[in-house]
Parts: sequence; C-alpha cells; structure tokens
Amino acid sequence: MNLPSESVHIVWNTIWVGVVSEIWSHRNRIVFKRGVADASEVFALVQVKVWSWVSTNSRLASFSFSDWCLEPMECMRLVS
Amino acid sequence: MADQLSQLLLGAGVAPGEDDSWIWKDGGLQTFIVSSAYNLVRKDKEADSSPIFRKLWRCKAVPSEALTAWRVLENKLATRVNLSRRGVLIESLRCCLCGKEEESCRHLFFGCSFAWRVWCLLQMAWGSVCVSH
Repeated sequence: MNLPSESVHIVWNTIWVGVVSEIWSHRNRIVFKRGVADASEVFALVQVKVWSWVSTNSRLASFSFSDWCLEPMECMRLVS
Repeated sequence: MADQLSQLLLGAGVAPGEDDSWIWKDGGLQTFIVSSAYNLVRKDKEADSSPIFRKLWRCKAVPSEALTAWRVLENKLATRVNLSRRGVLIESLRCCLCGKEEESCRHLFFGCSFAWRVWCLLQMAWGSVCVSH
C-alpha cells in the first residue's frame, strides 16, 4: 500500500483546523447571536471553508466543490 | 553588549586602498534583503517549536483560523472554564453546546457530544474514502 504523500497530510491538518475553528465560531453564534446547535451545518461549513482554502492556496490544484465532496482523496493528491 | 560588539570588531580590518562598507553575510548576494533576515529568524523559531505547531503553521488554513486552532492546542481560548480562571464572573460553567459538562477546551472540541457528532460526520463522509484508498 502506498503511504499518503506529504500534501495529503497537509490537507488533513487543514481539515482539522477547519473543524476546530468552525466549532468555535458555531459556539460563539449560539452564545452571542442566539444560534441553534446544528452539527450538520458545522460540517457543511467545514467542507466549504476547507475547499476554499485548499483550492485557492495551492498552485496546481484546481477542482470544483462537487469534486471535493465526492472525491476528496483525488483532490488531495492534486494539492501541491 | 557593547563590549561584545567591540570584541567582534577587534579582528576586523580594512585593507589599505579598500573602502569600508556594509555587507549582509547570510546568502550569496551580500546585500541585505528582508526575506533573508525573515528566514534566518524563522529557522530558529521553527527548530524550537514542536512538530505539531510546525504542522499547524504549514497547513492551508487562513492565519486567523490557524490562530484559533493554536489557541485550542495551547488552551488559550475564552471558554467558560478559562474565563472563570481569569476571574471573569459568569453565571454558569456549563458547555454552551451540550449543557452537560464544564466548558473547557478539551471538552468543547473533543469530549462534547455535539463536537463528537461533527467528528462523526467527517468520518462518515471522508473516513471510508480514505480507508478504501
């Protein structure tokens, strides 16, 4: 089995940052803007956020949001 | 400090007929460029920091959100437990998301049932994809 490349690790670290920071802003929306706790909303926002970071922040990667949701591993391999 | 500097200069001399001038020793150009100084400082800092922080700063997240993640790792976020530790008076220490336990960093992001649901969604959507590759 091939080990995941460095770029794949970087994307996973980015996803981790996305989840943690989105949980924190969700928590703040609940505290300060009377939001409602919704785990699927947090996850959906993480997907969008990480896609925008990864696809704008790397020179070679170019993939649509739907590719990112359906074939995340293929997209991760494209990230430089 | 001044003594150290004068010590450094003791051995230095200007050859006759040659003009005294400033040079920047790092890099081949011998002229000062900011990026060279930045990398010099950064190299020291990178060697000091633990691998987890190196991973954090190398990721693709925007700096403001990477900073939030850094604050989670360092337990520096203004969670209710941390606020009360800093002497801020708050009504309840209970977690805003599940209402069951005290809102510490460890609880809010990893122990809380709400956070758990988010991590599970991630695992459901992407975890199986990774295993199959």
